[in-house]
Amino acid sequence: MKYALFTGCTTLARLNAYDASTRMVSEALGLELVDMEGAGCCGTPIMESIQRKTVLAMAAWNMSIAEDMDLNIMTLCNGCNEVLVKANMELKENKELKEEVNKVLATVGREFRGSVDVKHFIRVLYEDIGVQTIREAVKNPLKGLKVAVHYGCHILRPSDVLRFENPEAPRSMDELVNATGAVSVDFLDKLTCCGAPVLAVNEGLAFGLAREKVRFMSRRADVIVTACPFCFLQFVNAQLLSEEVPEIPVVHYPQLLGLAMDLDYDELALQENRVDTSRLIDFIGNK
Amino acid sequence: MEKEFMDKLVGLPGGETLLHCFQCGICTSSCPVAEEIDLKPHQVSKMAALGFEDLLMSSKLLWDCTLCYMCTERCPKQVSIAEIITALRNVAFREGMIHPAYKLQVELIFKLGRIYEVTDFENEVRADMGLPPAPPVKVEEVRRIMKETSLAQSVGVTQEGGKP
Repeated sequence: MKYALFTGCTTLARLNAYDASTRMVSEALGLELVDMEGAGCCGTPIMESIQRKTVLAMAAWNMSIAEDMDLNIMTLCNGCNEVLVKANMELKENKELKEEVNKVLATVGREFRGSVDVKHFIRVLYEDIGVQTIREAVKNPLKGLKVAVHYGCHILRPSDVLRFENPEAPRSMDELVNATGAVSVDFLDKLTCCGAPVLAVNEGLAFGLAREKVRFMSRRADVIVTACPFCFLQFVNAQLLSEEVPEIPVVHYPQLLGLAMDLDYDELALQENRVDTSRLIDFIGNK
Repeated sequence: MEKEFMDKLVGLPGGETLLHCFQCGICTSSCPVAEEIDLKPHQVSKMAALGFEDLLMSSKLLWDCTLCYMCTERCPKQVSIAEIITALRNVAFREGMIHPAYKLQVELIFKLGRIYEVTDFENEVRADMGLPPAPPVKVEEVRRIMKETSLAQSVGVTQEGGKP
């Protein structure tokens, strides 16, 4: 199985641990990832907020690179995921819009054909690799580890666009976490936004949301697991910026899975997470 | 005046559902920022329908909405407040209003092709972790797209490398 990897700006520039652990876990599961040469910013939900046409063109431009590679796209960031999936759907369904966008792309010698799909990493693991295969790849079950699963908004919503899971009661990531031997625990406001989209506009509001989420998660879980670079940074920074916020490790899903698969702890780069993740070692040790 | 405002919104994605709202308020009770903002989500559709353009355009909600789409998911009438807010922001931008944080992001993307710069330093760190270098962005193509869709001109970043 092979995907074009759309890493996204934030992971590429700031979260090497997410990038590295994704590649390690994918390789171990037989999922081949190919970098997209020349690709750039997805278009971002922020630009969508001010000029939709530009975002559609940026998304189409990126997707045309994967079309040339003849590969479907795998995203790591929920923001990129929403932008690309939405543009892909709209452009495939609306011929006039596609023509309009292709006029723009023609000026840079590219064309959007609508020949590839876009999926988030979690969705690829869940639908293409499968929970059973992942369970079988686990050598080091993280028994007793209580996990707060944070999907992030744009892997689920808007559900009529993303067409993945029940937006009110998703199961995929919980099952992927349970497959590691750990247990996904329920917590208050599980599906609520982390606050990241308004960070640049209203920092107080953004961190207020993140602080509350960390508090709710820390009451029930030993560790927070994320699937989006923005959610990850929110939960880490909320802890680093306020002493009132309880300390709890935050890890990217492939780091958790990598630990359970007995991949190299240092290479999974848990030491890069900026909040203490040593608590996790206890669970590997006590297997 | 009021009719014109409605026409502007109804023509945009999400805007067409505006008149279906019957004010049940489930959007507001699902909204993560509702407690913090001046105008509540359920008031948006009402005010838009009544043509209160100035109130909407000057509301904190316009920029404080996280676009989490919880309101959209739960609306029993398939009104998408998140899309209406996106439409309102598009209208605001067309009329020359842009939040400084948004302007900064547009400038960065025009300059770098990304929202962050990946220099030799970042690539060295990546190499230390066994990661391949970040594939270089074809930034000229990004700039051309931003110009062809006139976003660059509207924000005032028409020359390569930054502001005019």
